[in-house]
Amino acid sequence: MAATGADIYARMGARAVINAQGNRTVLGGSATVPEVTEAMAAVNDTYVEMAELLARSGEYIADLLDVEAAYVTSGCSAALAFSAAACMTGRDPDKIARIPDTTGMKNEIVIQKAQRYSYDRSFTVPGARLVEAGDADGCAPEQLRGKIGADTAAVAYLVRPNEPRSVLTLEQAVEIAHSADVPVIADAAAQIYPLDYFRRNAQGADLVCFGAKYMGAPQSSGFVCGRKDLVAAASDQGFIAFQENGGLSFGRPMKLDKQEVVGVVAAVERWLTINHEDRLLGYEERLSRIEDELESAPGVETAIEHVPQYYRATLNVAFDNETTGKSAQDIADELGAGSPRIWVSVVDDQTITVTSHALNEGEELVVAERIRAAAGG
Amino acid sequence: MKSNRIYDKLGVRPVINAGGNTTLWGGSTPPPEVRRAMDEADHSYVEMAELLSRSGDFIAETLGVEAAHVTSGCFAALVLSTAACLTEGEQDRTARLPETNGHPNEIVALRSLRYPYRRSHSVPGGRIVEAGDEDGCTVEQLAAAIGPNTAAVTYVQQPDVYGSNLTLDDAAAVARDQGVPIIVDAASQIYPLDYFRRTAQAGDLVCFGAKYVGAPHSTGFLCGRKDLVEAAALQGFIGFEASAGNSIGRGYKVDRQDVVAVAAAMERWFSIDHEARLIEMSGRLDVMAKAVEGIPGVSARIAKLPNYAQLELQVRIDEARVGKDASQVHAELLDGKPRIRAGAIRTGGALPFVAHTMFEGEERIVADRLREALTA
Repeated sequence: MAATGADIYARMGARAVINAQGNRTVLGGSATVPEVTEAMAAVNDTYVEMAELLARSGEYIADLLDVEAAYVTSGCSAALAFSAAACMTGRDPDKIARIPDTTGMKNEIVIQKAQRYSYDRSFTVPGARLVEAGDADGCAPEQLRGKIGADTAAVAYLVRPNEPRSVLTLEQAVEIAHSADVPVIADAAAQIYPLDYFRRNAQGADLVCFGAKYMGAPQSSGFVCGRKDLVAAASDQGFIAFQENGGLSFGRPMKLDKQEVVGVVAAVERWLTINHEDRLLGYEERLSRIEDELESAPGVETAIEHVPQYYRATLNVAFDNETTGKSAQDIADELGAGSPRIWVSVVDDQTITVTSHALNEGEELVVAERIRAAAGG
Repeated sequence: MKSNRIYDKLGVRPVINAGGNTTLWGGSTPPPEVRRAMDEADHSYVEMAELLSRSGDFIAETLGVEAAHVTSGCFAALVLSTAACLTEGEQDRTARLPETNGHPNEIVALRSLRYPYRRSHSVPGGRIVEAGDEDGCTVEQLAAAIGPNTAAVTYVQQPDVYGSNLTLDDAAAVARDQGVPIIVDAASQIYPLDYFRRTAQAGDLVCFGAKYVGAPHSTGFLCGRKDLVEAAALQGFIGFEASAGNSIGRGYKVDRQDVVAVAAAMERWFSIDHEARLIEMSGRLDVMAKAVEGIPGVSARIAKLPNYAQLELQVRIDEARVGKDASQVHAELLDGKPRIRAGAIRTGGALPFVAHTMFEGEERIVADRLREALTA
């Protein structure tokens, strides 16, 4: 329950938050699921050769996803940065040592302009230059083909549901890139459900990056998987390779605890074996409980919306601004400033949305009560 | 050692670590008080920006500095510190890193203090300029290397390994006179406590590895001048949000559990009885020393170290009489069951062991295995 957590934060003058937004980094990303908590606790009082742990965990995850290789990282952003560097340096120690100075290397990464997003910053961190193909509305095959040249290290692709048809699909991007002998890096951060979709993504490009927080591993964990030689080159950029190659790798800041590494293994294995229908029904039951509690609240209307995400459902709560005298943002601010703080998302002037997959048991009732109070009911 | 299902499943071998807080071997194992704090934070979310700010205040107060910021290790702290000095907190420069054309991007380092972690300055786009030569550096030589293109001076404070004729205080004075900030790598300079505080106060951005005080492996912090610490925070993974996706540090993620762990570990470090702790360490080393007493060709002594570890068991092996040298014994211990990792053999040849990364009772296992290796 939130109360225990609140103690450790209260001692520092920080305030616990009931998280109705989801696995957002700004809120701490994730809470570990029991299998992960247990796996992490089991290795607390041990030391281990990190190179061995990273190698074996990579093999294990690769087996689970039926890909050639995998490597655990400190999150999806780190995985993307390692992937970009891998495509520029290969396994050449001189090049690895020079990152982010990429003069003389193939250092361009082609991305569809319609897919530009904040996390594409991960590619420029090791010194790659982004080259845009197409325009804000889409990209034709020949436009992507036209931007691939002698300096192209990779094509980048953002995997997300409901892309417009004017944007090239992952399969199209891979076909075009491969015909030019260029690898594809795919950001599939939260694209982990349904399971066949997860596997297809993992197998769908040369380097595919995921965030493990979505599967109940700690916030700062993720992995990259794909082609054996490229994953090896990605791991060459990491913090353990740094210790082994005399200090060449730029990825030294992106550290992992052994606990986090086993946490990722436990999370992926669990994800591939649990009953997801039960998981999703559990989320929807919580949202329904909030709906029930708000049924009689004046000026408040609720509707469960199904979304193509790993948590499937979100609850839209619409306010009649006249009855409540407040905008949706006002209400969100009030929830965020109260005790405990509750973070929701604002959709528009009338509507907030609430997710339940990051709520602790019972917190949905607190959320309902506070929304009702904020709405004036 | 407890049996370990996840390691068994993966085919990974646990290690008894008598070699210290080395990254290659897992770095640290947080003590129970720190783990309790982490478990509390696990199931309760918090606004990360607030948590980083409050924990930073707590650490700063403990060390008597203006500000502090938790990072994913000392190296990350050095990178973010460098980025802070390169960008001076400006959004435009932050967005362009590691490209640094058009503004000061030189990091002045001592030629005589070359070491692998200097890489931390080039990662965000800094360019190293060296002062002095292999043997040392004078105040004049350092001043001469600083110019209009200098973003910062950098210094390694680890006197037992990287000695220098130019002290940190002297280097800091030169930097101050020249109007440039000084970044200090003080990773393991966490004991004695007054030395820890003095070192934290000796530069503009001073970086530490928190694993040494019992926080998790992948944690550290930078501390010092408020404006520079803020500029460093902007470059980090939460600063990423504040800078609208511009900062380089999104990959340098820290769990909220890790952030509270650093605060809890620092609080513990400044409140425990270190004398008692060291007496206990000495006792463990003694068990091992006694186990090899009387073995022909072997001599063992507990040496005092001028670093945070303070104590070390040094086992000297006469190859002719024992039939093996120190590196062979090291390898034998590492290949056995369980694996035992001794410290790195330095020039001079003794096989070293430290106690502070072992668990109670493990010294007995090490003692028996060492005796076995030296008498077989």
